[in-house]
Amino acid sequence: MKSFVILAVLLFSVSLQAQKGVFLAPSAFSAQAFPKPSKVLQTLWLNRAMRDRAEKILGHSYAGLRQRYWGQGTKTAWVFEEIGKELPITVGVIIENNRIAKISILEYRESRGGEVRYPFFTDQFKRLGLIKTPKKYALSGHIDGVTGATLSVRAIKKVATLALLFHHNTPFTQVASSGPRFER
Amino acid sequence: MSDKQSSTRKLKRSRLRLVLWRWHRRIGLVTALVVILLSVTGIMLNHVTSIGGLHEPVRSLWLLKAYGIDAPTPKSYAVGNRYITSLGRDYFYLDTEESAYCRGALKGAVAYSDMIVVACGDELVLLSERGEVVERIGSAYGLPAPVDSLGLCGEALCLSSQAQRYQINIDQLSWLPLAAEVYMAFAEPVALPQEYRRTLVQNYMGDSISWERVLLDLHSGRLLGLGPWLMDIAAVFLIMLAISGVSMWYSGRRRKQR
Repeated sequence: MKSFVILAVLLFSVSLQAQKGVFLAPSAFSAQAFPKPSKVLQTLWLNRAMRDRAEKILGHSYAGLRQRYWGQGTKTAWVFEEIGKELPITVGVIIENNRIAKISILEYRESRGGEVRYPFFTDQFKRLGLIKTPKKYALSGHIDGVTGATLSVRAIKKVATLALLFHHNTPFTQVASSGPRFER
Repeated sequence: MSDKQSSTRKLKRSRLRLVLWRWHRRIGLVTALVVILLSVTGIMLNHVTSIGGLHEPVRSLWLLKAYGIDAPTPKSYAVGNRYITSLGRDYFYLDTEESAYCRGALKGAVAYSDMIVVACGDELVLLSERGEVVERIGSAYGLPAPVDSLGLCGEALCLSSQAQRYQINIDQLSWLPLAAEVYMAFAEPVALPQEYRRTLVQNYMGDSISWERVLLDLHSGRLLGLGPWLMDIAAVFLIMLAISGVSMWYSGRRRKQR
């Protein structure tokens, strides 16, 4: 009985530990987006209106006058940190042709909810664009939640929306007629 | 009843009266202090609105310490004629204004390229000259963490992390490792001017404890560290005083009647 309890505690603690960790270095993430060394770090300066929109998406204040990203052609890559429940999740978003090409969880720090890093969740964002309803900016498709990771899911959806909004304000955005309806 | 029995009973009564007197006096003396405290604080509490200053926040450091609020020890860096200060939390102040959240302990601040660069353990925060947050740079952008110190290597911005020095290219966010021999002028903590320090510490301590709160806690005995027990004991003593006083008065009256 005693050994069973010890084993159960060990297994439980291992499963908790497995939730958090660094899963992808930022340099590896940017290399994924732009394998050629010609990638250049860009800066997006945010005016008051842009910051207001960002705050509306995030639901809290946005501290910063500029945001760094990597950009080339019609592709941009962004790294954001957003708090899930208590600790920030580092999320990388690659956008190509105004749609999300890939989302990666670079670092997850919470003890629960780390399932959001798996492809079954992140793949839902692929090909999603940005739509603007009268009240808010939103993703163009539905994202299924993950049981026990509601706040992390919410944080990643916010980051994905923010990345799309910022992408539309870079020179790398594609002004395409087939793209989703979007007003800057 | 024989004379012998009667005198024995009288002797017992007078002994009991003596004991009662002695304890009445002792309890009275002990309770007097608490009664004075209760009465004075009670009268003041009855007139809270008319006594000026009772709604003012307490600024006395030792009194605030009794409430578990310790005064912080500011750590400051001078940047030109301005000061970046941390009070131990994950926020830093520009002069006396709360400026920004910064993850980790404050490690340094320097002026660089029309900006103020603030280093905390896990991120750099760039401030404009007006104090606006321009950018936060954390490990997501490859910042070598934890940052131990920030400084200048000649004209370039440098930091030290885990005994390794790096030259920072803030535009391209590159972190070039430097040899240990390269001279780095570290940002050193400085003493914060007294007026800034006073304002920051007072703001940090907050206005949560008023003199009315102190009076209430004195009245209930909570401020003396014994919780409500002190006043409970005082109440029991007052009951004992009343009982012993009445019984002494009654026995004295009966003796006079005889």
